[in-house]
Amino acid sequence: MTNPRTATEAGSTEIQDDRAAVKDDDLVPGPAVDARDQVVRGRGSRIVGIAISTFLTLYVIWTLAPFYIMITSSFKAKGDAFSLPAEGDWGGAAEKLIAFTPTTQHYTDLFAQGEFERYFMNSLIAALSSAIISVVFGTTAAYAISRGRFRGKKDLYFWIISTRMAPVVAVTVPLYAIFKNFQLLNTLPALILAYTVFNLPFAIWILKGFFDAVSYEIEEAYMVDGHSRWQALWKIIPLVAPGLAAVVVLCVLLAWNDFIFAAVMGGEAAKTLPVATQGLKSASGIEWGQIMAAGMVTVAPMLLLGIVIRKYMVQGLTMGAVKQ
Amino acid sequence: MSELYLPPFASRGFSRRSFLGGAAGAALLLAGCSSETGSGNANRTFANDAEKWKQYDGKKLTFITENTPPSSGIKAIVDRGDFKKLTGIDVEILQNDLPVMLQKAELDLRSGGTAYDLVYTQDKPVTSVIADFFEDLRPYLEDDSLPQIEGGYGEEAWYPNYLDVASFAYSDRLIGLPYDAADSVFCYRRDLFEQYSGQFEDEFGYPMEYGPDTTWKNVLEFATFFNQLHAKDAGVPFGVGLHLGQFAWTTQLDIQRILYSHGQWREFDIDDVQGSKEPGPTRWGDEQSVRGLELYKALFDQSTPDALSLGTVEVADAYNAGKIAMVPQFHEFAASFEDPANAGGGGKTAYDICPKGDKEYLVGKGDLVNGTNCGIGGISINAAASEDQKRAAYLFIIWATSLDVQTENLKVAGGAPTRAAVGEVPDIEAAQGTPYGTGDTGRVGPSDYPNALTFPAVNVGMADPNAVLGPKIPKFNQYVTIVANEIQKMCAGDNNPEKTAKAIQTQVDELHGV
Amino acid sequence: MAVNTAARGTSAGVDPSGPNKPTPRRYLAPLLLPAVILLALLSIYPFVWLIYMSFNAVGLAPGAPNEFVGFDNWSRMFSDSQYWESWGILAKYSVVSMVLEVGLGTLLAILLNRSKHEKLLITILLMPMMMAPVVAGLLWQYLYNGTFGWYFWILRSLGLLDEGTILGSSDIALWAIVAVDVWEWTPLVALIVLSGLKLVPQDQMEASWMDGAGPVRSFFQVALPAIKGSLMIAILLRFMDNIRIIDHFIALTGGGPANSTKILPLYLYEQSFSFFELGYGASIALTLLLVTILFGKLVVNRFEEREENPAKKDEELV
Repeated sequence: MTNPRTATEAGSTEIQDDRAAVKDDDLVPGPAVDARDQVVRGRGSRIVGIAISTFLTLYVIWTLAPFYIMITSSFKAKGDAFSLPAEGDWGGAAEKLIAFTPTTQHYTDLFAQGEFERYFMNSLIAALSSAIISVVFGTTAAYAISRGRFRGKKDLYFWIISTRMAPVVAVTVPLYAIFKNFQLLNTLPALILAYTVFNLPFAIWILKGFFDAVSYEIEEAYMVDGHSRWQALWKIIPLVAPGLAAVVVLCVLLAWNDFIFAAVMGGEAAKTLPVATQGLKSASGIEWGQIMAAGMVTVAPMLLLGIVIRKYMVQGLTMGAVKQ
Repeated sequence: MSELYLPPFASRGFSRRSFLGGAAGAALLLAGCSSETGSGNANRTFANDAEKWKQYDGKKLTFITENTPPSSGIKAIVDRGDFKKLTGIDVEILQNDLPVMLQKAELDLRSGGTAYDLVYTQDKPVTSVIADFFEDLRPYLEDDSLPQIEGGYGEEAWYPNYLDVASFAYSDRLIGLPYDAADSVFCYRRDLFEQYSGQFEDEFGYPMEYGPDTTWKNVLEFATFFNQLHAKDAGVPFGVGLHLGQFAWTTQLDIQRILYSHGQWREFDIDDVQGSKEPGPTRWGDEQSVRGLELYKALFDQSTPDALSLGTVEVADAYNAGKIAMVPQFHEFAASFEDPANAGGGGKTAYDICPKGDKEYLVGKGDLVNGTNCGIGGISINAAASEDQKRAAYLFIIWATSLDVQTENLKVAGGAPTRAAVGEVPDIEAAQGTPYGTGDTGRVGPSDYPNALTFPAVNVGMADPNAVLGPKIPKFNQYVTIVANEIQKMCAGDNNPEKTAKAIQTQVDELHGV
Repeated sequence: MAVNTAARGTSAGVDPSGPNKPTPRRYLAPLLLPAVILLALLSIYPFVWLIYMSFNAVGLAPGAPNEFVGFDNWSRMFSDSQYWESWGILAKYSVVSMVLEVGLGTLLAILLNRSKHEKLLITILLMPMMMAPVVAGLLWQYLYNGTFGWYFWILRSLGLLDEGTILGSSDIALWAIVAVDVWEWTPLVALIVLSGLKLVPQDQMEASWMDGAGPVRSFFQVALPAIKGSLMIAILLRFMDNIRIIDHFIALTGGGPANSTKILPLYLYEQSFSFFELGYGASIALTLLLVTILFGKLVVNRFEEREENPAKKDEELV
């Protein structure tokens, strides 16, 4: 263990191995799984199996149906396409849900008239910037909390986390006052800072867990070799890379999906997608087709993110409670 | 109604005027601006109007407004460069849902901010809440160094009562000019009225026809009739639509026009035009208010089953989907009612003034009128802005409320003009449709500019004695929230009309500390 | 399996004495301060501001001073029936959605744990959580809409809804929002519980099944003790988020009809941003903050227990 490089590799391999082991449980039909199946069959209850499949199928339908209606509605022309069949006319319902002439009118309207490209960019800049700030400062702070021993550490840690838990509405008014003093209102920096209030504590929380999981011996050995602590921190960054990825993704998600901050402090110059989507409701008419299209534009990038990096998403969404 | 109100244009010359000129001049000296950039100066003389319009060339204004068609229309006209060509001024128009817009404007104005030079001041929910933060426009109207608009700004230049509603609160200061409007008119399915008139007469003894003398009790009977038909054949729409959904203000308007129809009942003992910062005890809880609520509850019972979730927009959707036979609605909705893509729309609707009060529901001896109410949007200048910004903003105000721009807006976006002369523009006058119903206020399409179908009804409904304009009170938004909540509870069956009126009274008086 | 769990412990290096080797002070400051200063600016100032405002009536004009009113805002709050009603609605909402989410989420987790399609199912379950809550609110408002709404239509066609609509009825509206919450966040509970289940040695479960304990009994005997901690975390997180995020309510009902969905954070939002009762709003905000911080303390304690003593936990299971 004197060579830190080897130690690092050993450490990461072990983690890898651990994952592989977990995976094996799930995927390889080992005897244990068979045993369970036999138990079920042995008790003569195929019914249980059917019930499970039915429940899961229903749950998947319940989860996906709103998405289906959202997508199809975003491609439906105004007027008749939006009307409902007579109550109880299931055949007519199926026809309306499946067979209609799609139109991209709502999307072209959004982008041609509604400046949605700009809102999209605003969302992207605000989300990414806040994520980067949070992950940079979060890494150093989490490292210090994980490794440091100092008085009041627990209280400091709790204070940091509690800022993440504050009701959004409660902090909006005072933040508004601060931003006003610094002339930040209606700018992206205001949004970026507001998101950082929630993202930074979150980053510290998650990353502390990851640093805790890295054996101190690795750094110790490295520092014995004459490297500074900063270099040691840099050295173990690859070991917490999954954590960093989880944090970036989750910070982006939180900021991207925020409504209240952007509504109160964003203004036109920093209007984000959720605010723009809600803004399609007006006192003189609701264009549901357009709202559904705008909703699609808002949710699609996050869905993609969720599918591509599912693992980190799970980790972050559960506030680190799940470590895969 | 307007005894307390002195027309601000009666006397000429204000002491404030010289002060204003001096201040602006001093600002100019201090800033040392070159005259090339046209930095404002009230003492400057201009060779012609074109120069006056151009004096703030290069400035930029920010206008926060609602996300409704009239403002979208203005935005379209601004974006294509009309105002820039005239003045050289850039205008950024920010559109939001009304509550969000109020939130933003209020946050900014209350802290002395200048993020917005121009604010859309919807009469009661916005103006009466933040009236003190807006510039008095009277000196500007008389300033020789500023251009003025043909047609002037007097009461007679606008649709009836619009100036009173949109431009004053708590003082004679003129804090805005009428910019857009939403007036209640009565919309009904004339195809169904024609089809079932005979059958209705068999049961109720008089024909189903609509006109200025149709009362709320008649409407209740029409609605009952339609619902009985509906019970036999679901293809026939429900009776009457109400505005009970999310937006508290439109619920208050819904009950207000009914109450006003009966003896011109008002919520507070205050002047409708000026309003009052201390309105004193409310009249809610009196006998007339209870009778009015009883009528409202009866109408609710003949409404759609989902009436409690239908706000102004949703009730329009339901009407368009062919689910409702009659609805009191704001006149800007004519555009969607005339859209042939809609099951209930596309030439099937007649537009008339709101129903009259009925003696059966009148307590005492008051007049029965066709109670009509409104939300008139003003456009106002942030008083905290710099003198130059304010003068530049003034240019935008008079431009946006001018005859030409409003006419164009009606054509571009189906706006709701405020200048009465718009209705006299030949092709718009022609677009006011064919007379229909038993009076001369009802109209039916087809029309090139559907909103124009409502103008005859607006002209009568918004005039005295039918128009109810108030109440302008600083806590207006709290007030309507109380009214809407209690009425929703009543309709949900949690409270009877009498208890509802008393509950409103208690809470409103508590709100005002009386 | 037990070996594997043990290996997990060591490989993760959660030896309590390990990571806490002292970092010299001179490193602590530069590491910690940027984050601490930023957070202090953005959280302590607002907190102090809230306390100050809760004792003041806000000046309603630019430059107008705030007026010190002592405990007026506080006494008003305690006698404000809507304030207490809003607590009640928040409690009702939280408890019902929690029971549903925990029940459904646990069931899902158990099924997911043994499903061949775990990865695919998790991907699908993640989808609602990716949606901005305000967009979810708008989408469900559309589904519930009495004119265009498919869910409205289905309920009517099935005869489950006779008169009235979903969001228009003060009896149903709150439950309709609960349904949205369940749709969007049950998967979160499922994932947290799933992580707890992963810690249960599989052979124990099987042994219990083999013993003929049956799925229900083996769940209570073996799985439940193991996932208790995760469940607690899930419940607390969900409760805090119910207080934190009101986008569903803003989009779906705005608190109506007849205040039947006006949960406390929404009441606060209305007082502060619709009526500009900033002083009164501050008092409400502080009480909300206090309750969330109490819950937060519980969550953090849970996490720390779990992270500091995973070994102990495993022993308990054996």
